[in-house]
Amino acid sequence: MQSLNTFALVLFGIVLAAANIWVCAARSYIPMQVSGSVTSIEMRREKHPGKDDVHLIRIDDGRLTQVDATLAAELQVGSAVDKAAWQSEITIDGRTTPLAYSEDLTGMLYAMPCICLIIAATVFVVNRRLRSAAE
Amino acid sequence: MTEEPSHAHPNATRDSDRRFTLLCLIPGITATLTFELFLGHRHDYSGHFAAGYGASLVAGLLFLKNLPSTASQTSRRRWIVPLCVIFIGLGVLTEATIFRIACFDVVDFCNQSLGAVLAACLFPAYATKSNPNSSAFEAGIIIGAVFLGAGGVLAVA
Repeated sequence: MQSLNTFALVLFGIVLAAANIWVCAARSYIPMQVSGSVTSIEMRREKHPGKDDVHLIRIDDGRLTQVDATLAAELQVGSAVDKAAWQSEITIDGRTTPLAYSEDLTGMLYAMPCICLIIAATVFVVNRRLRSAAE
Repeated sequence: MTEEPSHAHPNATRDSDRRFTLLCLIPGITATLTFELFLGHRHDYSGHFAAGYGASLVAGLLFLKNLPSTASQTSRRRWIVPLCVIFIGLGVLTEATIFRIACFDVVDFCNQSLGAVLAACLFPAYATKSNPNSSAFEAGIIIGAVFLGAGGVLAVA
């Protein structure tokens, strides 16, 4: 039972940490393949206006994606965008614009492995306590 | 498998409770500081993590304490993963409703769920206690409430 708990909890931790990294990376558009024209750009305020605003871009293939503020600033409704997956530049109306990962992703790349290690270490310590108590 | 047999010496129980208190404190503080160290420009990330950890710790300990006293330690431990899944699900619900400001933020959801997972890692240490009313319960509830409050403050800081 305890080994099943251990496996499940560590797995949940890894999946959630990986999801955090993926979502932050996807907001830069670098891992995405995009081709089409922008049909809408929407900025929604969050708790800290100017810091955690949400920028939503809709492409004419119907896809609605949240992107980083720096990328949203480069786009306009009607812009023709084109890029291959994992390319660190995007073509906007024939003009090539470099893309960059956000500070969020850089932080996540360090923080998430550490959080997974903390979860694994906690499980290890709890298991060791249970084992030593049983002996 | 018992962490402390019912005939345990009071000093052994006290030591066990103290160790459980440290178990609640050290991983939670270390993880929150890790968020602040690498993602200090977004205190709301650490806030969501701390709130998820605190709320799950409080709710999990309350649930395990109130299981029937006849429940075996194995059956108590069977609840740990389902509890974690329920807390993650409650996180989806709150993020999609009362905490939905601009949109459902997947990063906030992942951070609070990571807090729930870390809290669930501690549940086996409590579920195997022969005396659920020990001071470990009170310490865990207080620590959980402090994390929840601190998380709320950080989330809007």
